[in-house]
Amino acid sequence: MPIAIKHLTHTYMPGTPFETRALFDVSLSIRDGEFVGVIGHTGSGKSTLIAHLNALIRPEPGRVIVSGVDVGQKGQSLIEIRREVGLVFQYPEYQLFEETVEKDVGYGPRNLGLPDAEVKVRVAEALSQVGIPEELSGKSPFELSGGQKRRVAIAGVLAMRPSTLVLDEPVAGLDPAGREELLKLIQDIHKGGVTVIMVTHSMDDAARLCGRLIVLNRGEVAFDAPPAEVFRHGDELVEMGLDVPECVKLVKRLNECGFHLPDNLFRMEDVERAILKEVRGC
Amino acid sequence: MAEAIIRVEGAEFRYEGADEDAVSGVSVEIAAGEFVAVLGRNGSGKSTLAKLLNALILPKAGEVYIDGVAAHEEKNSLAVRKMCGMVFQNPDNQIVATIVEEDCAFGPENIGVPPAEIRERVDSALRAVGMEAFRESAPHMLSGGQKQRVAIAGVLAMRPKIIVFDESTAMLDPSGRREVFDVARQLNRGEGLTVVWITHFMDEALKSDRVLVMDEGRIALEGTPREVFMQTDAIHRMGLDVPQMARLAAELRREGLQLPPDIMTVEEMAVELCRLR
Repeated sequence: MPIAIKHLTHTYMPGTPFETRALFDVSLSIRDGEFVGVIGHTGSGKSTLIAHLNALIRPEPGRVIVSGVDVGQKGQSLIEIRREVGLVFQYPEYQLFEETVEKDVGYGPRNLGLPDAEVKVRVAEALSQVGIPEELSGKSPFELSGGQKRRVAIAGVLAMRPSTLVLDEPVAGLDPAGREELLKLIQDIHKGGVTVIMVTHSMDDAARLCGRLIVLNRGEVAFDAPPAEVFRHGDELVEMGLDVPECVKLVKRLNECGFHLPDNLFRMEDVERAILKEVRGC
Repeated sequence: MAEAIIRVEGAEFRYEGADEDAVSGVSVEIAAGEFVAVLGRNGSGKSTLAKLLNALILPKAGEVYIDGVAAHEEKNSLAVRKMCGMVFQNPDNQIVATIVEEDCAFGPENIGVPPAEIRERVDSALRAVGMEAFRESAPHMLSGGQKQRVAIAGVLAMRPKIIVFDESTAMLDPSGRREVFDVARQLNRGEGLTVVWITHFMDEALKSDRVLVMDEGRIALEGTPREVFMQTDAIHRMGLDVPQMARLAAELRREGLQLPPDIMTVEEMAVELCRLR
């Protein structure tokens, strides 16, 4: 479901000495089927922005429209919005609480009042989507490994069958193999037709996976463009407390010493190909 | 090697109710003033080893000595914790006070350091991590990197000889990561602090003196970052990764480019490629 944000500003604790402006005049829209990366330094407004996407914060002032529904409208039921937009928090495994994996994943659908048979189908489907084998469904989620717990937590959101999945640093704290596995899974979910919005601190993951990057800086949208365009602004990104992928640094460094590589490369495979072409060409 | 400030001999530990040892037969020596990175997949025993080093847990077998003091004996736990501080992953879980300098004073106050000396320790600790300008700030108003630096200052105020960082940059943005790593590196170089740096980030390991790779509760690989990361296959088998430039170098070699086997950084890669051109 498309999402439109118009002139959204958010201030925490207005009128107190702790008044902090988290977002300022943010306007953007997200189309169905996109894979959008949201990057920005700590305190840049990323979490505040995504909390608006499923109505955890009411837009004030500004508007958030999710699949035609104006989130800020008085009396507007939020259930539909929360069903459409699934939010996976940072370290979602800390939110597991049920006795068994099956019950935990089924918690959302059960609360929607779905019949048991339907809940069962959804749980099985969500668990298979995240690669948790069926024999674990009767286990306590607390007996699982860290990576498995996180996948079960994500399954709990998928069981709501959201059309948009918002993930806040989904791979933080995982080892390299665990990261790869989970990112692959998110890619598969995206391929299955779900719109994905992912907050990340890893410029490499952002470059590799996202078709579009939204860069927040001090609560404002600094860039909103495809990775190739965003990573051209390396110096500005570093100034914002961010970085560019290693391969972008390599391209810049090589061009400084006489290479003529295109400056819009941001994926390792493409950089490799361009290097081979140039070295062999000489 | 200089005198070992950390000496672990055949340490074993098993969590209650677990079927296997979390750490099984680990022996390692770390010299005073070393900066040692510890890598390993989730569940490989890194954090358990860290907890053995400051007597948060005691081994069921084997010995752990911190500057000659037996950390495997319960009676020495407090002495060991004074010498070996820890900084954890989540900055929000290790800050206890509502003002930065009070947070740093918490440790020394608890061990009965006289007030005048606490003042001095807190000031110098905050200076060492570059947070003196924030000494009267509220921790929750700080960025992640700043909070971690406050946490480090709190540990420094205990005047430890060793600090163990257990994935202390995992939750930070790129600049926060650089900030915290650089502070640790500088405390190591400038003050001779011994650092054990547990991480999932290969670029941080690359900037260490020595790398230990843990797998299934044991130390599986050990050496300089270069020595370790040249063992690409073993590293991958253990669920880890080599630095990106090492991976690119391997790909380019496979394509027939004459590149040395130990390229790890952008700079090294650039120098070698410019030579080929």
